[in-house]
Amino acid sequence: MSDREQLGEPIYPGQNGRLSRRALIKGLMMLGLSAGTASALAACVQPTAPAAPTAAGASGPAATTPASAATAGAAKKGGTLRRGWQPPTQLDPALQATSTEIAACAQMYDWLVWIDEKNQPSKALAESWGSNKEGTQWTFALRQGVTFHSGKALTAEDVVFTFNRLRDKSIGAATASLYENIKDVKAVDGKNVQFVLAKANPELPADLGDYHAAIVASDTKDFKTTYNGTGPFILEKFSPEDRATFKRNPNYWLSDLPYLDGIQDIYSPQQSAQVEALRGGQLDVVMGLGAELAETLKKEGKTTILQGRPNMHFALHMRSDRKPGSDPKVRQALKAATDRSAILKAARLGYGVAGRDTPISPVFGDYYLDVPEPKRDVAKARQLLKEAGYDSLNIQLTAQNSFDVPKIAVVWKEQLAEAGVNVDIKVVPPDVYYQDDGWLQVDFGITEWALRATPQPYLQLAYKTGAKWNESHFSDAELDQLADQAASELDRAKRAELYKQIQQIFIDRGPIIVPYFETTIAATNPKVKGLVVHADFPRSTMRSVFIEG
Amino acid sequence: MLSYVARRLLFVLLTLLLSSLVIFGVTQLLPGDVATMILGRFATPEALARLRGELGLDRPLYVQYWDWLWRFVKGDWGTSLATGTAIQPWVMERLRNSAMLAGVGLVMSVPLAVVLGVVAAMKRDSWLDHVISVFSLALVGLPEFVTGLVFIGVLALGLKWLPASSAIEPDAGFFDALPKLILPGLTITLVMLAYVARMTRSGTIEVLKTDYIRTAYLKGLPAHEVILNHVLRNALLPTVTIIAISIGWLIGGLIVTESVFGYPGLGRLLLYSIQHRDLPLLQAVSMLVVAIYSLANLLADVVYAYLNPRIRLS
Repeated sequence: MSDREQLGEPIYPGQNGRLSRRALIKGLMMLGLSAGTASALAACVQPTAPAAPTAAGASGPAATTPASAATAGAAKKGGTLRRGWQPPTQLDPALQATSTEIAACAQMYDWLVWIDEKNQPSKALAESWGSNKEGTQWTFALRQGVTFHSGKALTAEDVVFTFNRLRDKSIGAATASLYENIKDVKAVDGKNVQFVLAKANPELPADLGDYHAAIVASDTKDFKTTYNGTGPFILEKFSPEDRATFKRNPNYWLSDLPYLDGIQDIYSPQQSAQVEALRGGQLDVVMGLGAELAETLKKEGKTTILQGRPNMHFALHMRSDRKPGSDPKVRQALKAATDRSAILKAARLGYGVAGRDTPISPVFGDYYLDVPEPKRDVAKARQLLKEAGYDSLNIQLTAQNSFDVPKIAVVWKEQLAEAGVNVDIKVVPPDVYYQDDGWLQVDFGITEWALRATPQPYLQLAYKTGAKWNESHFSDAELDQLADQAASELDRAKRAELYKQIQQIFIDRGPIIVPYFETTIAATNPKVKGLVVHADFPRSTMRSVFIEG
Repeated sequence: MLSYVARRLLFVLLTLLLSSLVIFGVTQLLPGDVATMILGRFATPEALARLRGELGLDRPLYVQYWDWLWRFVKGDWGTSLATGTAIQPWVMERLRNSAMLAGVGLVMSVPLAVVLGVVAAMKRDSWLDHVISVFSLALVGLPEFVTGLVFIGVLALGLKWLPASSAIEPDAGFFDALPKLILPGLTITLVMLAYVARMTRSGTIEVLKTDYIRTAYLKGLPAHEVILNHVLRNALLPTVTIIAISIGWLIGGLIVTESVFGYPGLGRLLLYSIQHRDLPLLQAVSMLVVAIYSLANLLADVVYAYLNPRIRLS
């Protein structure tokens, strides 16, 4: 079964264990069928389902104006949605760091380009865009008639202000380096914004969709007390240790949306307490659940469990500039001894997609090299080790004590033992793992890598020769060259071809083992409808969510 | 009496001054850096330096201390580093919530504890006495995160009598909030129960041994009159002191209980300010908690003196 089929499994639990109509449509859409075809097919499977309106429209953020009309018939207006999150530090969009902060900003703000729940750039405040032949000058045309919560109309000036702030090194935003390639941002007129780049960047729209790049009003003075966005919800009250209260934006640019009257993000440090509150009916949504908690809730059967698309991955890096990882045969031997699906099952209870030892998952669409999961082959592993001159091998794996990393380490150790490799696991707290660049020094380590909108950042940050976070100290002339080529290739089909070649290099001689990409788990009160979990789950928009009955 | 209170008050002020020094000193020793906390691990050095300047963190320590203390006394508690909003109204709202929970906790625990203590003393060394002692001690030994979760599991999720989370609405009045106060109130009761009941028991036993109680019985007073008029008035003296002192803990020290139930009180605010290195907030809450403890002790002293003429008149 390929990954794409796996994703087509019922994401929404259907009645009597059957595929729900919506899950089916979603699955079919992921197979690349158009919404119309998918819904027609779904109608064939479940002839009793009402023919219109299509539930496909509920897949939220990507869908813009027409989608809202499609869901309006089924959706119920009103109500307050209560979500559980851990306490945030602050809500300045340029400085968002934690899930809670991203989850709050995703409701208050809009983006020029919205990275949709399938991780693809889609229209938002920009209605259309294009570049010159060289890909060095991009123009974005703004949607008209959009207003900020303060009533101020959105103009090109606001966009220029936003990106100049994000580029300003003294603000401290993580985007300063992401946007280093931008030479100038200017308002052509009230409606059009132009980005002038130092060198071509075919993925500029995706980069502008970075979660920090929420469009703010140009008259904002203090970002700690003013949250003036164009988003579907307006912040009413914010106490970072208790809750944030949002009310509906009545002038939201997608007419009819949002459905909810308001949102309350209720903060508590313990996820177990949030889950208790969900079970007790004092919360409606908890996102980013651990797999064990999700399984407990699933068995209980009183909550709806939703899954997002493949999100972050765990890279088990093998340092490639010194022994033993410097020998590609050793790296391939360790890969051959690894059973990725077994790790996924043991460490994450199957909530994820097995990896192919590349940082690129099926969520990257046409960039993804769709090959079967490599089969575990212990004999081949022993053979390769022998060829490399090892009868047995002792290695030390540094594992940070967060996420499911220690579990991954333990299962891997057992698998490797069968191939004659003794893995000594050293578990350290995450701040120790990252402290003083320790993670960049160790021979074998497990690092979590957040989801990006395009494959390029992974290559630029971690796999090109001399890259800043090249934890495996990997250096491969062919990969370097292909990565640079992909970075400036304007033709998407050719770019996809380059990314596929790069993934083949990872598979043949790359420095990482990727046991799995985890899928985000959300649990909701069964009355909550229309929630689509974003690939980067905190970015899930609540504008299409409604509470039934 | 007045001069006694004045003397005690002076001590309270001295305590507060010393505490302010300690609080300020300790917050400087907290590991981690506020600017890094706000800007994140990957911020540039320029941005960090600029932010430290803006927050006044680059000034000499004694200047920061004096500036802080003077403004604190004037009622300007500064703005939170996290939200940029004024601290005082925020803290006061939490103080109100904490006071509500403390009140419910006291009302639930004190009468029960006093009755159990008196009964145990009257039936000294009987099976009833042993049952009361063993159970109250066993319960006080259980940490609040255990009892709290058991209450949530049984009373909220199992029987569905009460809400599992005590996250009250910010503007909830006392009676709106009351259903959500009962489970944390029960958790507090278990902690208070053994403490107060044992104090009452030993106080009662002491008094029962005295000559004037024997006299009261001998002159033919019925038992309930002896207990109410003669025993309790004298036996509860130490108990009242214990209760007054515990008010400080009930208002400012319920970090665990408030966290388990998600209750927006002072204890949880204190925890948040520590975890997020929000120094102005941490300093303000700590000062307030110290003040509450000091005032609770003052109250205990005054009540004790009022009830006990030997102290009042000395």
